[in-house]
Amino acid sequence: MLYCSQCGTQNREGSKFCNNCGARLKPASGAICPMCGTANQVETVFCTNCGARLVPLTAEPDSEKPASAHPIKGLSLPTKIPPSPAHAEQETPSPASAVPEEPAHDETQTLRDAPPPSESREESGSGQDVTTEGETEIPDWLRNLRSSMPVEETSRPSPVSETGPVQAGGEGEDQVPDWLARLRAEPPAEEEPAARQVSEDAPDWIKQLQAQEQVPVPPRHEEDVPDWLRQLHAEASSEMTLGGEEQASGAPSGPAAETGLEQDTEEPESREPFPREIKSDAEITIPSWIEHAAGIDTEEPAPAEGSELPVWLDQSSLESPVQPSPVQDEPPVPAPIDQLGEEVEPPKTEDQAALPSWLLPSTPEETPPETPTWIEQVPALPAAEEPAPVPATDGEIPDWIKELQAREPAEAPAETIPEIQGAETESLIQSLEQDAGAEIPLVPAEAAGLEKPLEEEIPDWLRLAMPAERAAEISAEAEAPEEKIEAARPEEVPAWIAALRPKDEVALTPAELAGEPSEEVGPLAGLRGVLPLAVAVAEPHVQTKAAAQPQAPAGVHLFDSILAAPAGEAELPAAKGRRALAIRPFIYLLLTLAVIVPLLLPFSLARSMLPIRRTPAEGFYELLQGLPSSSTVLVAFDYDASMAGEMDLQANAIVRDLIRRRIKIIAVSTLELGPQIAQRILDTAAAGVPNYRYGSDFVNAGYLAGHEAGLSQLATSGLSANSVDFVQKQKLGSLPITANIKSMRNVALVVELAGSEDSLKMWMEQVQPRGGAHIAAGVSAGVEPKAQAYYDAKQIDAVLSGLVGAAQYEILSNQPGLAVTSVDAQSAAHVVLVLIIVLGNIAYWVSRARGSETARASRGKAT
Amino acid sequence: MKWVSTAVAIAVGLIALLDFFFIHPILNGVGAAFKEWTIILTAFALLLGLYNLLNVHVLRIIRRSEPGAGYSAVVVLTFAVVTVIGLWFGLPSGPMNWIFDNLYVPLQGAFFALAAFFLATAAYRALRARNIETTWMLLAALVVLIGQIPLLGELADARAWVLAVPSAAGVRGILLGVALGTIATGLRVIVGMDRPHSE
Repeated sequence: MLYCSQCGTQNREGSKFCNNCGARLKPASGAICPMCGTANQVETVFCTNCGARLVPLTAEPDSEKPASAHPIKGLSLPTKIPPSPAHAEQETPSPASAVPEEPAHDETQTLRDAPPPSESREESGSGQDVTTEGETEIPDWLRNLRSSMPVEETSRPSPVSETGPVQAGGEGEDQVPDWLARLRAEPPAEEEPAARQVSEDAPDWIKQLQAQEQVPVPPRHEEDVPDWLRQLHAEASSEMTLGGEEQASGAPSGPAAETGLEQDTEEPESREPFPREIKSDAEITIPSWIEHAAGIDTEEPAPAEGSELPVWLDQSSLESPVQPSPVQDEPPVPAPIDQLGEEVEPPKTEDQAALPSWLLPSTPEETPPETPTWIEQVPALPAAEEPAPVPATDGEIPDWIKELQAREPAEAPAETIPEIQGAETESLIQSLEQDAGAEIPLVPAEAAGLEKPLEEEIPDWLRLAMPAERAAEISAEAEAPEEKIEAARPEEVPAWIAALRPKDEVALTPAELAGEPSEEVGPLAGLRGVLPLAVAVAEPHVQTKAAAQPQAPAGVHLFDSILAAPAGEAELPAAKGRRALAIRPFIYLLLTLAVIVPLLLPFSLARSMLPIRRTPAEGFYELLQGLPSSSTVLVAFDYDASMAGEMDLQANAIVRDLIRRRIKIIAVSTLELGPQIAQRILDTAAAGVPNYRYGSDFVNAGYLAGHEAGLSQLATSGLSANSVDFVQKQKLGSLPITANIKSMRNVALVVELAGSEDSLKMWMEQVQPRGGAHIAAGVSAGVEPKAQAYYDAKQIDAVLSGLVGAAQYEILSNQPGLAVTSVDAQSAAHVVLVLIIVLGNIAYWVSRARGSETARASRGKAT
Repeated sequence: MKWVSTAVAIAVGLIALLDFFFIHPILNGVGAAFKEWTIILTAFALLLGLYNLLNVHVLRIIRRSEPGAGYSAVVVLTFAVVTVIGLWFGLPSGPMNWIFDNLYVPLQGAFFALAAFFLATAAYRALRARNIETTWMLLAALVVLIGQIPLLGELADARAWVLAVPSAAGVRGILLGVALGTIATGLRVIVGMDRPHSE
């Protein structure tokens, strides 16, 4: 069962969130996968969810190896080695091993005899100082370290002691931790308050841990005890002196713990930080496990009770990272410590057989290549932090410690040595460096790639204690963390994460650029890394063959059948067909009458009512009137026979006026039949003016081939001297009127008679800007919008539009002719068109209204 | 060998472009020569068009099974008669002027005039105020048509405004777009991205 850390609600095993408050549940035991967060069994090597390795591969223990083989490069990991044949049976997590073979009382009885870790504190008197005087909170191991006292081999820690700061009652074997008593006696339902109560009895640093994490771990139930611990207890029970169960029952219970809590919580204000309490070397004692690791034969400062206990248990009590209770004879064991003990440093030598495999020393051969990177970074720290189980306030805890605490509740704060200074500290570090490689199962940091990451996380206090050269080296590395990380951990980034790294900001190296396709054509040819154009743009003339659709043959056959079928009348609805047949002749008849009647019966309405003043035609007329006599005008007849009905009227009016004023005319055309049209107009107009001769006063230069090229040549070079005129077939260079036309600047005006937009555009693009000629455009009514645009842009000097413009010009030049008469017919036709449009709309709205009424009627009948 | 044609096209295009913007004797002379060549080539294009026209209609006459073979025969016969008269009498000449003035121009004019009737019928069917857009279009058409009528000269100013403001605005946009497209097309040919000459 899982207990919520927030509300204490009991939840089903395997639940991730609390049923009551929704808080995320943390399993009471087990290994949390750093990759996916899945809770696994303690002995699990690989995560059951994602397969990530939970336990690092470490070096084999080498008891024969001399000391100082591996100086400490930082912090070491709890290691795991492949189980030896002797250990295989105990280490293999089998279903049988998962079930405790011995009764619970045997386990508790075994542990009941364990001396509390406070015994050593009692000996040193530090416990009293903490609780009563508030003088110091220095644990025994620090005091031992400070005094540099030799430590006996028997002072090595034990995993049982690491399961928690077993607070004995002060009488050694008679003291049984109450958590063990609860394991045996109390039901799960009663564990929650007990756990909270015990946690309040914990020393300050444990309280701080609890306060920071806000995760009071529920008490352990028998089912929650890991297999390795049960096996360990079973073996230990055979070695230890059995204690009476009555002592367990006599252990202080909740009220006693509360009393201890009161005493403990009343004092913190009066306490001073730990570093201030370190006054002299005598106050610091080296932990037994460190001394043992250093291979120094020291005298055990532990009490005599320790000698009565099994060696491993005695060691475990000394090695315990927490020196919890300052109150003598107060047995409560904090529940969190109980849980902490599962994950702290195991023993090292003779009790290895009783330990789980992952707690055993490592073999150097296996360590480097197979150690996962996440283990190199994270779990390597706790082992070295264990020697600093000194209380500390929140303000004193470095961030990296808080992170570690958040990840590993059992880890003791390591900031308790920040102000250890002087030779004592150096001796401590030196002893650590000398001894760790000898017996402490450290992971070879260099081989595992741990050196740089671990050194980066070395706290300041440890850095100060290090030799100056080494500290400076580490500081220099810390100043450029990113480069170091990139340089030191290329292999730590998993491939799938590396693949997610954004690459757009990465500049291509020359080698990479060499692999890029190069531009082969265009001005960018030869450049590499050029963004490719779309296929349709880069290869516009490469026709992609469309994939044949399955239904394509059927469509082709249908289309062929439609084309081959004889033409017939469309099967329209009868009513619509009759209506169409009725209205179409009516329209045709009205339009015919509107055109014919004014031509046959001139009304002369246009002559009297057509607006003349302030019209474009007036401007056109004024422009031509401003031309001096005997000046040369180039008239371009750029309309074909289909537009002759409209444009001939303009041409006649303009040419007649020009010839009447004896202005010389050069006729050209960009259309093949234009010269014929021009010749007809010129002959008609010149016939009425005496002494106005072809060749001297006017000339038909004929067809200008080449379209834009011909006009461009005309604009820059004038008429080609080798070309011949349309009538006499004489070279233009020999004619007096055209001999001196070298460019359009030699003509007074260009009159462009354009029946289409293309002709006007060519003149405006090729002649007007380059030749600098003045252009007056006489255009059909359909081209008027485009001519108006050029006129607004001042590219055209004047515009004469359509039949109305011709009529206006005739009126202005006082030579009314067919144009004026045609305007009457055109006006009548426009009136008819307007009437037809209006009738069409009336019919549309009437039919729409009838349709609505019919629809409403049909709906009414239907309803 | 495609690079040869591409290089020639780029060179000629650059020279023509420079000839348009700069006044330089050599440059303008070379540009003028290129224009003369272009004019000659377009004349040959007319001959190619004539050959293609005759080829299509002659083949249609030879096959006979295809519909419209009779019209093709009229086309070929008319071509032959006019060609013979033109070569015989020259151009311009009395027979050619008569053909042009009494056959070609009236036929072309009549054919174009038929559009007036079709447009009238279409106006009756299409110019209807079905929605807002068609209503605006109908109003503009009525204004322009009525503005052309001298009897209703009051609407002439409205017609002029329609042509000078909204219509000219649209046309101006079209002209600018065509100009930009022309520039882009010319640049693509000059830089070698378009190679229609090498296909």
